[in-house]
Amino acid sequence: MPGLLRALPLSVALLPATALALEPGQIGDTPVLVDVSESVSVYYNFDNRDSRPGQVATRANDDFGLVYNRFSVQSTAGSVSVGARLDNVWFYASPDATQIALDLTAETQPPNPASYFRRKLDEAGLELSNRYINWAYPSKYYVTFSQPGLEATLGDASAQLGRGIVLSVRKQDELGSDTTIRGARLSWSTRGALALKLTALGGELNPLRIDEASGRYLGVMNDGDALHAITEAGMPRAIHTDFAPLTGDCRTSPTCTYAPDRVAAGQVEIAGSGFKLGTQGSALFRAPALNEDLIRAARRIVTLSQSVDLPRLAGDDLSLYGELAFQHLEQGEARGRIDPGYGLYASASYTPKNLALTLEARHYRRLFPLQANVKLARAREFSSLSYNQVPTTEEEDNDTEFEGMNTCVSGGRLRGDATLGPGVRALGSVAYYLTYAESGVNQACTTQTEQLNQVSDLSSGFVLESRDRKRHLELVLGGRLDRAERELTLADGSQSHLFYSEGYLRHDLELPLAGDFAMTLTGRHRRRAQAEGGPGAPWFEGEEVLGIDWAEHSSLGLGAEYDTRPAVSPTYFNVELSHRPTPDSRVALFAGQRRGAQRCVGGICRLYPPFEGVRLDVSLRF
Amino acid sequence: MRRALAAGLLALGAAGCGSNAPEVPAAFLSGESSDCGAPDYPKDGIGTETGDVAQNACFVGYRAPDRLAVSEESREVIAFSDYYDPTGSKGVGLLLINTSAIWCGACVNEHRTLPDYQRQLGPQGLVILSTLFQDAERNGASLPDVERWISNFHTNFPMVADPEVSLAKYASPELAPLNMLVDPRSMKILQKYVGDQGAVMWPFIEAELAERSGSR
Repeated sequence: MPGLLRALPLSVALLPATALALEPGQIGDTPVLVDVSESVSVYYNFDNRDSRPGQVATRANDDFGLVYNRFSVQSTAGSVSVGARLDNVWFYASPDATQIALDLTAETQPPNPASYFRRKLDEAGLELSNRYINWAYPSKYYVTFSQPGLEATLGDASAQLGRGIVLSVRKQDELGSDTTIRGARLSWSTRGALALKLTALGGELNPLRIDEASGRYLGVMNDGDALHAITEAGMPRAIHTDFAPLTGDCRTSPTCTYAPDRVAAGQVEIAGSGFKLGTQGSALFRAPALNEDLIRAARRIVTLSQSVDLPRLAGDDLSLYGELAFQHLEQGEARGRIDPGYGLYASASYTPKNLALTLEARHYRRLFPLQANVKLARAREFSSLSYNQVPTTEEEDNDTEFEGMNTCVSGGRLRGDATLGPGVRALGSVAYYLTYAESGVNQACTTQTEQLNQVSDLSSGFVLESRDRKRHLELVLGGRLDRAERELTLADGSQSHLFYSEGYLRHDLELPLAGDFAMTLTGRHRRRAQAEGGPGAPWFEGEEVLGIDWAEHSSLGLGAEYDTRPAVSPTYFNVELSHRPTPDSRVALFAGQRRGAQRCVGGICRLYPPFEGVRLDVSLRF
Repeated sequence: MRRALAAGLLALGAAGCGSNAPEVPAAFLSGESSDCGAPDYPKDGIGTETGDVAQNACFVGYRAPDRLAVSEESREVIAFSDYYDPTGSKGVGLLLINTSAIWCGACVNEHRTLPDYQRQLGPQGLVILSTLFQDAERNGASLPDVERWISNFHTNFPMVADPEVSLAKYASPELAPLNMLVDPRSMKILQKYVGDQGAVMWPFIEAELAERSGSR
């Protein structure tokens, strides 16, 4: 708490005075537009109630506070834009390795306390060696030249080729990631009956280096070539601590947790009346591997795909998309070799009046995510960092694809949304998948019955909406059944074929109140059961958020969450206040508890620890 | 006015700063580290990364659960140093230190096949030493937990309880299993595999065993 009191002055100081607003000017006859944005987050995380006996990591995430500042500026003059984003983080409170070791020794009462204390001190010291370190670094910068038919960028650029199988580096707020390619990107296009677009890009991949939720950072070494020296200039470095020596080699230096990958990629698109063909490819080149696993240790990964997009068929009611991809992993010596992978993704949308049907299908064999060369043993929070996004065909936030399900799977999902009358819609979805890489690691993707899991997923619901759309009720019931062909061993030694099952209810209610006020009630409640890796018995979890909105200016949210697993805290309460003083600024204050959860976006998932504390976010734009 | 307020609050905040380093009992600083009764175990180059010497650690568990009935009587202290074999006299060609937890699906899956690998590669000198560190509720694993685990998976290699999560310094327990290959001649870490990485780990082990048997 004293740390929070110390941080508040800084957050006030960071609130800019109006005099800082920048006015557009001119260079010669060319107007110069300057866009400045500033975003500050101030956190304090109390004991988040996830502590376990003897486990340092669950103590090392308590009682820390930080101020995270993101300052962005972009200037545009004619065809040229220049931009930069500077991130800096300051930890005004952080756990102490000695205190963690003392606390664990006192609680455990080991037979040899001195030896136990020193072991836990070493472990805590190592754990904290790349957490809660203050950094300021140029997270993004670029210069872009653009005119009709041509765009060239030097510096950081985002990219998505096709539906993301080949390459997808972009901002994903839900996962706290914003990866770009720091290098060069060139895009050239023609117009006409047959339009051509060529895109080429290459450089080093540049993820955000600091994870706000854990205070962990990705550190690099000064051991690369000239390109590395340029792209990594000013970025967070591996550091030497009493517990983590620097050896000069990233692989053996504990705080060196990232060896930037390089990528060269390109796309050719040909578009005509009612069709678009795309050929895209990427080659990922690794620095020496920091992990001994099939993907992260591959020297080179080449992914190619051909896509067909037919957006207007059957009088514009039908659209089709298909993408066929191939992937080759080049492994080093003494590592297992697997056959090249391939995958087919297809989607069809049929949208006549009062009906929307979407069918998505996937058939993937050894089609892997392009995972970043992150040292997992020392930076587990970055384990989901990858440079592509293989479509799952599932709900965007689906978090029940386990292990490598999406790397060796066949199946599809049909979704429907039918308008039955004024303000009445019916919703539904049905999905079925066969996967060979979920209940066990199967990177070779052998399709034997013993590896098979059959997954069925069903949902059904309705929407009621008033004519002015101010009253809205949405209710969806659903379930998932995941059955393994082989016998699974449960925690008590019994056997089962039921790998995972779930039933859930989602609802969303909006009602107008007096004046400009409105009320919302949003919730999701789940009954889940997981054989291997689960708590041994079914459990319930969910959340309800009651919101009061005042026009578009302000909102108040009261949240309650629960989780009946025996290993975690059962209840969580929170309050969130949000206010927009101007359309370009926002202030939000969150106080309370939030349960730990796996959050997923399009098949990329990240496990967030529980949060218990206070968070203030201020964002401004000029 | 806003700047004056900020300056005032900053000064107030700075006044709250101070040293509050925890006090460590003298006995903790002067006491000898446990060497698990193995004074000859290497002491230089101790660390947690590839190429470092793995620090000796001792646990209680079962050394040969397939040959001796798993009971209180057959429990014994098992240490890394038991497999330290500088001269090759113990016949240990390669030591695979494995971590597992009851909550960990990948660990459960991995232990379905570990006994087969032990049968296949044990005669070539592979020794697997597995630690069970947590139960389904993520509390420290007990010896009865280890006994159930052995019974479930027909374990045929040394299996111990590690309720203190002593191997967490090599890799976060959340990423279990950890498989750490150690050279028994020097106790240096050859490779660390985080997660179930059988597709790359077993070819490496087989190649390493073949090379070592060739050089013997």
